Amino acid sequence: MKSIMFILFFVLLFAQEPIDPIPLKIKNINKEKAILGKILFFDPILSKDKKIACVSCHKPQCSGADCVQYSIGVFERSDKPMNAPTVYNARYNCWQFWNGRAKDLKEQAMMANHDPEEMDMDKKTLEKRLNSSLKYKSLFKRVYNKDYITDDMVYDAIAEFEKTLITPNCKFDRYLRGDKNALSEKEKRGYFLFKSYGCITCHNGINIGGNSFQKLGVFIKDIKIPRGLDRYEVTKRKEDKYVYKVPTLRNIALTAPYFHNGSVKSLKKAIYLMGKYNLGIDIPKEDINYIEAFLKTLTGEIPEILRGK
Amino acid sequence: MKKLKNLSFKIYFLIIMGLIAIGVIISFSFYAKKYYFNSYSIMYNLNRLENAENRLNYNLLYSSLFLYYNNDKISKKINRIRALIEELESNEFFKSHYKDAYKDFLNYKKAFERKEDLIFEFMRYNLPIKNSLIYLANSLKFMKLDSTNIKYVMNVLSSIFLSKNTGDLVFLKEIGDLKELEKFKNSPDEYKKAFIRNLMIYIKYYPLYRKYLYEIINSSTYINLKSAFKKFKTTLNRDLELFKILSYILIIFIITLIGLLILVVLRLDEKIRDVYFLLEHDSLTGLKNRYKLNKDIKKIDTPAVILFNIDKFKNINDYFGSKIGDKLLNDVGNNLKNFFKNFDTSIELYRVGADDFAAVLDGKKYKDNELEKIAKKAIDMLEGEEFKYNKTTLNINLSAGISTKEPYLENADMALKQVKKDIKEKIKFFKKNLNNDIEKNIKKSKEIKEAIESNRIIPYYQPIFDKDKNIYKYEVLCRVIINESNIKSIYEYLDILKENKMYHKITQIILKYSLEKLKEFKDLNLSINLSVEDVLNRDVVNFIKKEFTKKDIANRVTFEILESEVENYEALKEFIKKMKKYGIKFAIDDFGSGYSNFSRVLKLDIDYLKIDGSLIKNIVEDKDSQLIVKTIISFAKSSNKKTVAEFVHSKEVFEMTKAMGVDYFQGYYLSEPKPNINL
Repeated sequence: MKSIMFILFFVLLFAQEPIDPIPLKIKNINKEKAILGKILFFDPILSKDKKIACVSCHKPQCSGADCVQYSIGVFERSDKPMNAPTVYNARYNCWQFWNGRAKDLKEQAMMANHDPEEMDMDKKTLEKRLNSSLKYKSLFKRVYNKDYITDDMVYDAIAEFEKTLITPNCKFDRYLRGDKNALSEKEKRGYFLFKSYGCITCHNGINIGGNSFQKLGVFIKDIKIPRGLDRYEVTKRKEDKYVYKVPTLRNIALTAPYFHNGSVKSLKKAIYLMGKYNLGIDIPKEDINYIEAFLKTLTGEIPEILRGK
Repeated sequence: MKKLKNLSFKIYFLIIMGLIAIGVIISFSFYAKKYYFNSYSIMYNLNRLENAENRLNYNLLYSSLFLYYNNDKISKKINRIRALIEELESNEFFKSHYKDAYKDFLNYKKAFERKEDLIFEFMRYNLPIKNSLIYLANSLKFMKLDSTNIKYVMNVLSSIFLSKNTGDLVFLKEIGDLKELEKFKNSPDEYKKAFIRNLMIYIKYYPLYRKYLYEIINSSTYINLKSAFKKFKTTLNRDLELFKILSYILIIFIITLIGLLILVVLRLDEKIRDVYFLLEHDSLTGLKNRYKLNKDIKKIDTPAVILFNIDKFKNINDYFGSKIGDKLLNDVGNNLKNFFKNFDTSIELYRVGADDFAAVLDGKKYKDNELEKIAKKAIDMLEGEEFKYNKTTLNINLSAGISTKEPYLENADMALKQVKKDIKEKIKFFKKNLNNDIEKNIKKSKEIKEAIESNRIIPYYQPIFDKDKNIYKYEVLCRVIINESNIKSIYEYLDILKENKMYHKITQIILKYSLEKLKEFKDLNLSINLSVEDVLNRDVVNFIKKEFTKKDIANRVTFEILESEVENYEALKEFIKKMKKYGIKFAIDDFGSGYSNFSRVLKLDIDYLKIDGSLIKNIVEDKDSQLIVKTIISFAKSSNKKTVAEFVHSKEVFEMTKAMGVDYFQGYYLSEPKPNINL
């Protein structure tokens, strides 16, 4: 009877592979627009004090995220307690920000640009600054064929650039594409554990996360971590407290610190805490090692547009 | 003209209506295109929305069924539906035109926003339940279980399995063996503790998971969307019906326009045919006209033209009125036409002038003499005809000119003029030298006009002798002084003078000179030439009445009237009758030259008959002339008239005529005309 039950559950467990590889090449990209977006992404002129650029918190050397717990915004301000999520593969997130308040990259760019703790910019100043720059005037003219630069064009161009920020061809993607030797036995065991512990129920899809909102600490009654900007800030429903967008696990080995508030420095600890908080189990050290090994196979190639920089 | 104006108004009206129709068609098709494009895009999006809804539900059910699931599929569908909603919501045409459907669509949007929240909620219970299930299943491998434990664990697992697959909460109540539960909770085995934790999460979350799933599946989105779709279709069908009616109306309108257009074109065609007929036909006789002749003649390689003219038609018109004149023209035209029709159908007849009719023949078919024969036949036919109008009976004479050379009509006309000069001939063929006559005529006309104006018209007097060569009286002849050495007889100018209606001027001049002479010589008798035109001319008649009716003048005057000119019989008869009362005598000049009519002359109460010179000239040799002259003389004697012989140019002629019984003699043998009288 025991074995019958096991088989039954087994069938349910492995119905299909729920992770998709990142495409090797991106289609439908306006290259000139993306390059303009890149220039804007790196330009601190977009912030009120002209010191903060998008790149200030989404650093290539930190794999599109920030290496510190709290990023520094304009005038040394900080968006505490939120940790900057990575911009890499952000196009595969179904919503943007930890609480999904932006529906797409363009909206995210605008909101971050307007946020008083981040760049504190307003439409008027932004347009004034860019329109007084001959360089931008000619660049925008070439892309949009317009003589006046609007904020909408700015965010549109940045979003276009961000769409190119994908990290394809990681070991695991190669494995998914059929290269069974791409993963070592250890890593394969890590993937098996990742699935059998149930991590995969939330971390699935192309971005291995980013496609649902889940509560942090299903098994914890009084969680002590600060809430920050959770789903509650969007819906104002009390059930949505401590609910966040499930973060992507791609390049997870490079995007420490972890969790919405960047409170967890090591990947092992993050795995452990996830088991405790959301699976109601203490994952043994040995298994954590396996899972970590698997997660490290999710590190992909540096986006093409940033190579050589 | 009014009808034509009306017609052109109709054409303008049609053009305007046509333009309106085109405008309506263009704007109609433009609107229809826009309408179809917009409606199609709305319908297409509504369809896609419906599909996306179905897919979303399918994905949700799928995700609830399987432990491992790619949640991208759900979130992507949500985002897709959102994008479609946004697109539809911002569609102004949808908003303004499909108001009912749009209202339902907005309801759908609201319902979907609610559904979206429900989905996020659902996913928050769905995924932890899966994790718990995974753990509960896996825990069998790790937990150390004895026989009582295993029964409990199997019980739990079967209840969970049944609840998950039946959706019935009843099975969860069966798990409630609290004793075992407490035992597990306090067990040193961490797996047993975790088993309980996960079980508790399952028990806590499952009812919520179930509730949200049902709520999502039964959400009103689908109903709202269906209703929006239905209302959209209702409006669409209504519009299509309207379009259909509109296009029917348009088609009827266009068909009507085309019908009207055809009608107008037909009427215009009729008018054009009328105009063409008028252009090429004579309205009086219905015969083809000069324009048509000029057109037709070009089609024939070697045409021949016979031009007929009614002699003295103007007089007929003057005496009987233009009504009868017109009738006569009509009859003559039709008689001629019928004549030619019966003769040769290829011959066409045209009316080319007031009393001019031209027959066009093929010159190849007929030789010149044949043409003359045809003309003669036609003239004989018409001259033999009596034209009766009420109480008036008319006989007519015709002349004809024939030409086979270009310009046909003009040449024929010239030949005809030649005929008119020569009384003996009725038909003349055009000859080259006729052309010179025209120039001569022009020159003569100029000469005579200048002569009249500069008083170079003078009288000559030729004595008329009796048998004993005594001067009986003088005939007043007219001479034109061209220059000092050249004095011409008026004879060669007669035609031109008559054509130009100047003859009466000459007569008046001669009458004046004659009167002077009569007054100068109380014993002088004068014979003066009068034409019929003169008799009809008021100025001449008045002058005669005033000056020549005086006692001492009238009985010394004789008026000579040309026999061939006598056609206006009644007027002349009247004149003669009146003048004879005063003692004026009358003579018929050139008697016997043409078709002398004794009985007519008889009625005129004439005193003298002047025998035509052509009969006298050759009388010595010509037996015929002798016979005619004899007849004339006997006729004169029996009717108590005196005879005068002209052209007596030799002694033989004088003696012979004297012997035959002529009363008076005139001619070069006796005396030539002289500018003065020597009594």
